[in-house]
Amino acid sequence: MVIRKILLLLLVITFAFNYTSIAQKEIITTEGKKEFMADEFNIKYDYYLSDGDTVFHGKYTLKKPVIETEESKYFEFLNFSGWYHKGKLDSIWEISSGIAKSVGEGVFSDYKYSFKVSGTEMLARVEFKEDSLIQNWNIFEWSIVESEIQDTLLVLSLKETSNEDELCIHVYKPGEYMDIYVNREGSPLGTWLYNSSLEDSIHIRKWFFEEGQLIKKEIIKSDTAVVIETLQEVEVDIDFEIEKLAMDNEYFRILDIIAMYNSPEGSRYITKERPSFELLKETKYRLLETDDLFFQLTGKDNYIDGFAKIKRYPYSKEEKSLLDRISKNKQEIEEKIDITIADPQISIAKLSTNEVLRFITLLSHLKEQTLMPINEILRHYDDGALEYIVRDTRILQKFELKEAVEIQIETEDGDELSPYVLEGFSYDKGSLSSLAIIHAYSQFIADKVSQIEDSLDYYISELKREENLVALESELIKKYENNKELCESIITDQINEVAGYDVQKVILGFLDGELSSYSKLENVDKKMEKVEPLIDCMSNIERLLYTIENVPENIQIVEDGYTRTVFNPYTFTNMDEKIKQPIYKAFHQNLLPYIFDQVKGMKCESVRAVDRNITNLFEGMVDLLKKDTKKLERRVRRMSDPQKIADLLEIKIDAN
Amino acid sequence: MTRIIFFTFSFVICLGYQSFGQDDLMAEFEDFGTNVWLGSYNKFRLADKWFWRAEFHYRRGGYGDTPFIGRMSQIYNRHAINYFVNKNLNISLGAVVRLDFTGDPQDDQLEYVVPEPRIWHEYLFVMPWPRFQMFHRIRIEHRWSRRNDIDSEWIYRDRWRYKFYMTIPINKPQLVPGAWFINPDIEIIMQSGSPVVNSPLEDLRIYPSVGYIVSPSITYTAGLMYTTGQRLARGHVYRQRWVARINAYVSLDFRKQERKVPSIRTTD
Repeated sequence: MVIRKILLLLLVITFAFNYTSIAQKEIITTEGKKEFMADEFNIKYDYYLSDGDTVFHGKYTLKKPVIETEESKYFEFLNFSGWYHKGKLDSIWEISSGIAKSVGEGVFSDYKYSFKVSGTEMLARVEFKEDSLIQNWNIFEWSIVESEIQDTLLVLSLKETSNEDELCIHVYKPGEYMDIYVNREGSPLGTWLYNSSLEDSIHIRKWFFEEGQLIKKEIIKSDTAVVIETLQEVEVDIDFEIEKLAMDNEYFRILDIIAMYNSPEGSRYITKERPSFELLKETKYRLLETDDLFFQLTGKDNYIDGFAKIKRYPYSKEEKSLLDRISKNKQEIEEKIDITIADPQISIAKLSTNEVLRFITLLSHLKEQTLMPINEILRHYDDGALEYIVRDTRILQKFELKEAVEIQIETEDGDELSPYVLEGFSYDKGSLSSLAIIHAYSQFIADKVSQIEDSLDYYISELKREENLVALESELIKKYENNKELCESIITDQINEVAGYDVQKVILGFLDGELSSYSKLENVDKKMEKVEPLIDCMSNIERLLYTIENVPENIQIVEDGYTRTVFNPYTFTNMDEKIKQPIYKAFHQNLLPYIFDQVKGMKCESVRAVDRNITNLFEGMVDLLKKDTKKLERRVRRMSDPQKIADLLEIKIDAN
Repeated sequence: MTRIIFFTFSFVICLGYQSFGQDDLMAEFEDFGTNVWLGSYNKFRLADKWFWRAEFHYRRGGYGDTPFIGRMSQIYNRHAINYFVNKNLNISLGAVVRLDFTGDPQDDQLEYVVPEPRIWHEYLFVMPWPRFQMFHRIRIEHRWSRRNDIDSEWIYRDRWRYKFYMTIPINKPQLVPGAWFINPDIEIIMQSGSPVVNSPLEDLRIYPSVGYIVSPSITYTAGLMYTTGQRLARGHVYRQRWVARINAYVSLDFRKQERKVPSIRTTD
C-alpha cells in the first residue's frame, strides 16, 4: 500500500513536470490537405515547434473527403482520429470507415447544407501508449439508418485477461459469438468457445488446447454432446515432429481430418462446423484489416498471427512406396471401370441382360463405395493431411474393410435381382501395416475389376455372337425368301420340259428342307457352325437359279451351233441339218438329263459343283464345235454313260 | 420363162402337123408295156456354185413272154457339171452313156448290150413359192444310138425335152427333213435329126409321185409314170408304158468343213 502511494506521488510529480514543460511551448492547431493512401485527406492536428521541428501533440484527425457521384448516391468514408503526445501515438485511436448514402431532405443551417445518411460503419478502436499498441482492440460494425445507429453487426474485442500473458478475443455477431484465447505469441490456450443460435437450437463448440495442441473438441447441439478426441494416442513409438501451423482454415481442416480418423462416428458432426470457421476467419480478417489501416498511419505492424502446434508423422520410404502403388492401382481401377461403363455395347447390353447389369452395378459399387477409403486416404495424402495422422492405427480404425459385402442389384424398372456378394478379401492386422493392407485391398479391387471385365467380355462376346447369329439368320431368311421368289419367277415350264421333271418344285423343296434342318438345330454353337455355310449355300442356289434360267437360251445356242443350213439342190430350198450328230444326241439324251438329275439330287455341298457342271456342259458343247470330233463321234455313238461321255468329250462335269 | 414354154409348144405343134400331113395312116397305140426304173440321183457339191451330178438308172421291163420286169432293159450312167447361177436358174452340161440290153438274149443276131453315148445340157428354171416349188426344165440331148442288131448303123438324133414339175409338202409347211410331198410331173420329149421323119414326139411322160425328205442330203420319191410316144420308123404307132419309178436323191457336200459350218453365236 505504501509502495502504491509512492508510485502515485511520482506519477503526479512527473505529470506536473511534463505539463509544465509543454505548457511553456505554444500549441498550434492547423488544418490542411494530406496525401494519404493514394487520396487527398483533410488533416487537422495540434503541434508545437521544437528546435524548428513540428512535433505532434494533441488531437489529430484525418478525414477522407466525401464525394458523392451522380451515378450512385453511395459514398465511402474513412476517418482517423487520435492523440499524439510529444510526437508519439497515445491514448485511444479510432478508425471509422464505411459506406453510406444521403437520405431524406437536406437542411440548411448555419450556412451549412446537411443531409442524414444511411449505411454501415466499422469503427475500430485501439489504444497506444508511447507509440506502442496496448493489446486492447475493439472493433464494431453497425448499420446506420438516418444517421442513427440501428443494429450492431459485429463486436470484436481483443484484450488481456487477468493473466498478462493471455489474450482473449471475443467476437460477436448477431446469433453467434466466439471466445478465443491465445498467448502473446499467438499460441492457442485453454478452452475456445463458439456459441450459435443461428439455427433453431443452441449449438456450442468447444476446443480444448494444451500446450498449443488441440486435445479434444466438444460439440453440443440441443441435448447431445459429442466429444471428439483430436490428440492421437500413440501405442508404440513413432517418430514425429512438432510443427507450428498458422491458425487458419488449413489448420482446422487438418484438425478435422485428425478428428475424423480418431472418431469416425463423430465425423458427421465435424462436417457441420462451417459457421464457427467462418466466424474465426472473419475475426482474423477484421484484425488484419484494422492492423493494416494503422500500418498505413503509423508504419508499424501490430497484428500477431496465431499459430498452433501439431504433431506430424513423416512418411517412411515404405509408406511412400505403398501410397504410390495404391495411387497407381486406384487410377487403373477407375480408368478400367470408366472405360467399361462408358462402352456403348455394354450400356445397351445391360438393358437386355441381367448378368451384364449385375456386373455394371458391381463395378459402379466398386468405384463409388468400395474404392472410397482408398480415395479418401489418397486425397489426404495429396493434400498433406495424412502426414498428421497416426496411420498405422487410425486408418483401419476409420475404414472398416469387410471381408464380404452384399451388393443389391436393381434393374432399370426397379426389380430387385439376387444380390451379389463381394468377398474374398481378408487380411492379418498383426503382420501388415495399415497402408500395406490398404494396398492389398486396392490390389483386391483391381483383381476383382479384372475378373468382372473378363466376365463382361465373355457375356459381351456371347451377346455379340448371338447378335451376329441374329444378323446372319436375318440374312439367311432374306436369301431364302429371295431364292423362293426367284425360283417361282424364273423356273419356267420350258425348263421343266428340258429337265423332265418339275425343277421349281424340287428346288423349293430343297430350300425348305435345308431351312427346316437348320431350324431344328438345338443350340447357338451348332447354329453358328451351320448358318454361314447355309448362307453360302443360299448364295450358290441363287447363282444356280440364274444358271438354270439361262438353260433354254444356252440350249438354243447349242442348237444353233450344231445346226447348219444346207442347200438341197433337188428341192432348191435351204434345210437345217445337225452336225456332229452323235455329240448333239448325247447332249440331249445323256448329258442334259444327267445334269438335271444332279439338280434333283443335289445337297448344299454340291450346289456349286452342279452350277459349274451346267456352265461347263454348255461351254464344252460350244468348244467341241471348233474341234475335229469325228473319232469322238464314233465312240460317243456307242456310249450311254453320261459321265463317261463327258469325260470322253473333255467336258468337265463332276459326279455328285 | 413364158416365152420358152410358148416356143416349145409351137415347135411341137408344127412338127406334129408336118408329120400328120405327110402320111394318111391312122394312129395306133400299142399295148401297155411295163417297166420299173430305179434311179439314183446324186449331186456332189464341189464349190459354192459348182456341183457334180452323177445319176444312175437301173431299168427293167417286160418283153414278149418275159413277165413284167423280167428283162434287163437299160442302165444309165449320166454325169454333168452343174452350175448354180442363182436361186432361179441352174445349168448343167455333161455326158451320158446308156447301155441298151437286147430284147431277146437268145437271138444271136442281136448284141447283148449296145452303148448309147449322149451329150446333154440342161436349163432348170426354179419358181419358188411360199409353200412349194415349181420347176421348168429344158434338157437338150445329143445322142448317138444304134440298134442291137449286129452291124446296125449309128444314128444321130437330138432330143428336146421340156419338163414341168412341182414339189408340194403335205405334212409340213416347208420342204424340210421329215416332210412328205407330192410331186406332179409332166414331160414332153421331142426329137429331131435325119432319122426322124414322122415321129418327132418321142415321149410324153406323166409322172405323179410321192416323196419323203429324210434329210437335207437324202430324199426318196416313188410313183407310177405313164408314157406314150411315136415309134421312130412308124410315126403313127404310139408306144405306151406304165413305169414304176423309185428314186433316191442324194446330195453330198465335198467342200472343206469350215466352209460348210456356219459361224456359231456363243455369246449374247
